[in-house]
Amino acid sequence: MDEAAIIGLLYKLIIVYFIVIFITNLFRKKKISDQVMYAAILVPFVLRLFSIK
Amino acid sequence: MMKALKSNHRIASFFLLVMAGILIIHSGTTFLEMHKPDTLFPGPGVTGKGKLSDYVPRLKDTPMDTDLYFLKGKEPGGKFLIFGGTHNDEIAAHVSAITLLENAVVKKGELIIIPRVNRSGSTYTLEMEAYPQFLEIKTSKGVRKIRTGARYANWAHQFPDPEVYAHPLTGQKYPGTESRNLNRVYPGRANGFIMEKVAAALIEFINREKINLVLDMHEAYAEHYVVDCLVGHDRAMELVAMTLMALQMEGISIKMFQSPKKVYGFSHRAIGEHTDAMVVLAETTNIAFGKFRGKITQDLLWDGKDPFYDLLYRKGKLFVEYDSKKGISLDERVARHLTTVMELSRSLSEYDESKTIEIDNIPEYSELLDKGIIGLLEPKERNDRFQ
Repeated sequence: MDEAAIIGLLYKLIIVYFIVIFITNLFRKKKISDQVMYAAILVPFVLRLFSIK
Repeated sequence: MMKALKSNHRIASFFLLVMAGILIIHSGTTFLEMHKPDTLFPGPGVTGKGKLSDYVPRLKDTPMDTDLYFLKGKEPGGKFLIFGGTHNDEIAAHVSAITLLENAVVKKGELIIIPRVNRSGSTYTLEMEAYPQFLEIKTSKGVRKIRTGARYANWAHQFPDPEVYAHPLTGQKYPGTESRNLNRVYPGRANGFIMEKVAAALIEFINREKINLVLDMHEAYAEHYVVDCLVGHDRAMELVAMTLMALQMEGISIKMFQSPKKVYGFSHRAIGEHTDAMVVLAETTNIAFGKFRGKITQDLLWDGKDPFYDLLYRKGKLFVEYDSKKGISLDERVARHLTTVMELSRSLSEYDESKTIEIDNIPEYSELLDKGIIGLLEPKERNDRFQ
């Protein structure tokens, strides 16, 4: 595995980590504005995870 | 409903998660629309179609592979290779290539057209630029859409970029994103970055097909000095001078440059050094591509009318004449590229009779300006041989 592939894999793992955090917080938060924020910032992270551009 | 959502935060979370899912599917589908190839209508002059991977198999089933169209005349002559889409946001380049392949008929010699030489770059638009995904062409049979794109290969096809891109032959340093810029990485490397692989494949193709002349079509913004010009490799300068005079006689304001020897990654330098072909790069002015433009709309793509540029022109900051009432239309920019193709082939024929290329069915510059290009891009009956 070359250097670029390792960095790419680490990048995706970081994205997965953030997606899990956002979804957890989405269900933990009780204020609707916080929930909307976590749902909105989820979108680009999921698109990045699947390299959709 | 809002009351119910506020009173039960778990239902609200689930609802918002579903909404985010819908947004992801919608935006993902929109992005993926650009990965579908354009619908093209190869004209009566097209005699063959191939892929770059037919010549360089290592590109097969990769985003770097691209279509080649062959327009071979009945009589032998020279071979003229035309690149569109090196930088896909410079739309007049690939629109000119598509117009040629849908209309040109070659009588002598051979024309080979690659409408999307950087195919990966035609699958997305650059972040933060709000460039439309498609150019809309209002034909008599409805709106025809041709993708725009970006100057760099799609990062989804090459990630991550290096911090700094050092040109492998000269060590010249560029920002890392330039490793995805086809016109900085020539002559390329077979096992290098994504665009280096394309550059190396093009060099192999040119050498194997014994191409005589290569034209790389581009656009630039009006505040950049390499605009409305031809740039030629040393061996092509006589041809460039002949073409320049012919273009000026048709009323086209144009200048010429010799390819700088120290800037190695450009097509006009490295293809000239690594093949026997004469290489020319042509630039027109795209206002929608400029850094001072307002919102990029279909109108701006088509008519190039932007009042911000009047201010820059008055302050003497532009390298072209500009008046936003007249604009610099796509019709004019494509007409310039098409006339350059015609005059280059005429000049090559004068320069060396054995390399004559005769192209028919492309209107003269004045006619292109009068009638526009839409008539040449009307959807035609699909030729199944070349789909």
